Amino acid sequence: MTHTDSHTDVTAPLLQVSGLKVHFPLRPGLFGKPAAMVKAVDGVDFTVHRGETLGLVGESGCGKSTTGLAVLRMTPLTEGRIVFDGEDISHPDAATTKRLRRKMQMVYQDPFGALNPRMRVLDIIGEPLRVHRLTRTRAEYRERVMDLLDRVGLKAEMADRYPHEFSGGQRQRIGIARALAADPSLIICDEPVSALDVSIQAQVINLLEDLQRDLGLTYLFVAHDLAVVRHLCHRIVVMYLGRVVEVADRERLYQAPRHPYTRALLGAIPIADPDPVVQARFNPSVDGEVPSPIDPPPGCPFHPRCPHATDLCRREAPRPIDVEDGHSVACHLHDPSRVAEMNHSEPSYQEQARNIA
Amino acid sequence: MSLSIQTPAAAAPATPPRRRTRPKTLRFLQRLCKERPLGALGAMICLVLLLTGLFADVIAPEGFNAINPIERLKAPSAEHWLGTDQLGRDVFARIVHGAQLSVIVAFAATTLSIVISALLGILSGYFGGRLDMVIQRLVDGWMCFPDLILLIVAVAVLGPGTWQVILILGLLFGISGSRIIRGAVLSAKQNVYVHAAQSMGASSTRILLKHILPNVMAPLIVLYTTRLAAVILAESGLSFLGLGIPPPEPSWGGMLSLDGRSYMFQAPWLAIAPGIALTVAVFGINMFGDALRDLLDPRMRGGGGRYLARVKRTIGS
Repeated sequence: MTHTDSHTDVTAPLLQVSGLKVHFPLRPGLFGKPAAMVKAVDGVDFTVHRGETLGLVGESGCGKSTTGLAVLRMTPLTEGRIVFDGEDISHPDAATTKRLRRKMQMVYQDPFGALNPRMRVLDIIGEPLRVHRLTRTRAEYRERVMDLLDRVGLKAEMADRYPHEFSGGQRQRIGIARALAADPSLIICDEPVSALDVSIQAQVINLLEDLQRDLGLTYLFVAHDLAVVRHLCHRIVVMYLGRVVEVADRERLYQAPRHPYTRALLGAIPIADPDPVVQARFNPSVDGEVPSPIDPPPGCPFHPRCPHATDLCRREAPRPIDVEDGHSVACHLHDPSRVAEMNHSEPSYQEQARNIA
Repeated sequence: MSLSIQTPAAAAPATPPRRRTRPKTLRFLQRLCKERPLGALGAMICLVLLLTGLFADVIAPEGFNAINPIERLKAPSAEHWLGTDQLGRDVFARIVHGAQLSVIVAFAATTLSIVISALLGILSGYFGGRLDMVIQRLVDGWMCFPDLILLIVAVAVLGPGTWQVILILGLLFGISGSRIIRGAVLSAKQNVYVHAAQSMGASSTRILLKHILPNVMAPLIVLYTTRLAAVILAESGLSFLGLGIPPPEPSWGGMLSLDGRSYMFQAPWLAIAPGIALTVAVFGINMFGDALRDLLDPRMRGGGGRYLARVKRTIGS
């Protein structure tokens, strides 16, 4: 399997997402006027480089899966721009869509629902080959599927079986083999291991890593399991309520998280042997619930739960600030031009004490 | 967490042996007999029904319309196996020839109705939106009228006769059945594998044929077998009203309702014989349909051996 048609600059990023917004109408009225909009994704920017794994993390409902679907062009954009392999795919025509359907593939969360129970593994894995007419003869088709089965660590004689004869981990391997069939350049993994047992998770993660090394794949890895993300992803995008709050390399994000939400998220990872010194680096757990994406709070989306929130946060949404090379944070606390304002709007302890006296 | 578990290495031969060696039909028949004995019985009944229909002239060569006033309303005997009716016609011969007509009408009308149901249901359910809205409102409108009124109007317009009955019954059952298929399609459409097929760029035709249709096969088969029985009954109802198959032609429904009802007490065999024929036919079709539904589902595979084992155990003890 080789990348034969990389006609663009190989150093350019594979995927660039800017200002992505995906809003869903809630209960569309009989005559077209929707009652409200769910702002699932509300202004997201990130870049995926060739050969890397970009993690997209956040709690349920933060819009990470919707972002994945938008990149795959399976859900319409409300606003924003997606550039894939040097080509604007925000509003693709039929021919571009057809090409995209080959170059991007998806691995699904549920290994039981993602495979048609009425099809043999041979035809499940070979479906992209059929759809894009990539093989000419039956023998070539079969041989190609055998290669794919071998790649994902399944035996060739499994090709004639049906999905229900396999375990969850094996099914996920079948799903991965199917995603590889059309020789894609980007694979979107939507929580590919969260439905599996921990030991099986490790196997599937190893498989994904091996495939990336051997085939030079690029992954957009949507997940909520921070341990898995830490193991697999090179860079991580943290999302909250449809926005990006922090982007950083894996090491920097886990060692020195900047955004209060990221700190809380990392602080929520259960630790077998808690070290009070380590724990103290992170915020105490955050109270409250995620606000509704139908009516997101004004200003910073995290301010109702943030222990550092000030009037500025309630008023104005923070812009992403580059705190280091490749590490950006959307928080007024880390914006040198705004820190002064924050101190103004929030009386210090000394001031408070003076007022009481 | 240490993630050093090795992925199992597959030492796969270049050309693996194919698992299937026996021809598909033979394998299917074997499974039918082994896993669903009742289904096999049903299949045999269906086969007998078909053969009776095909070779009616050979089985009852004297014909269904040989009127013999001297022999009228005779009880079953060696000469007339199922007795004779009020015109002295041999009931057995009429049943055999009626099988021909019933089989043609029932299968043709049911097949037509299933094709209509599947077409409307799949289009409406899969594509949704405005098309769904239009189709479903038309179906609503159609279903507002009582079946019998529609039948009477249709026959009044088209005139009585075999093809008219097939057409009108097929349309009637087809349109109401489309609701059931639409529901099944709506639920099948939600499957992740349909999303997967869409995301890899499969055409709607491919998705409908490879992913949706096989997964609504179970309700289709059940609908087919239940509708088959309903069509036979509806045809008898029409014949009773004089709107179905015109009288000299023998149809089971007509025999049951016209002759059977009038002479129920003098000659009960007139009602019993076509009644049993109907019951056996419907039973056979239903059993075969159920077996077909189960055997076509790959998830049910290999489960039937247990049935045989249980039977053997029962016989053994």
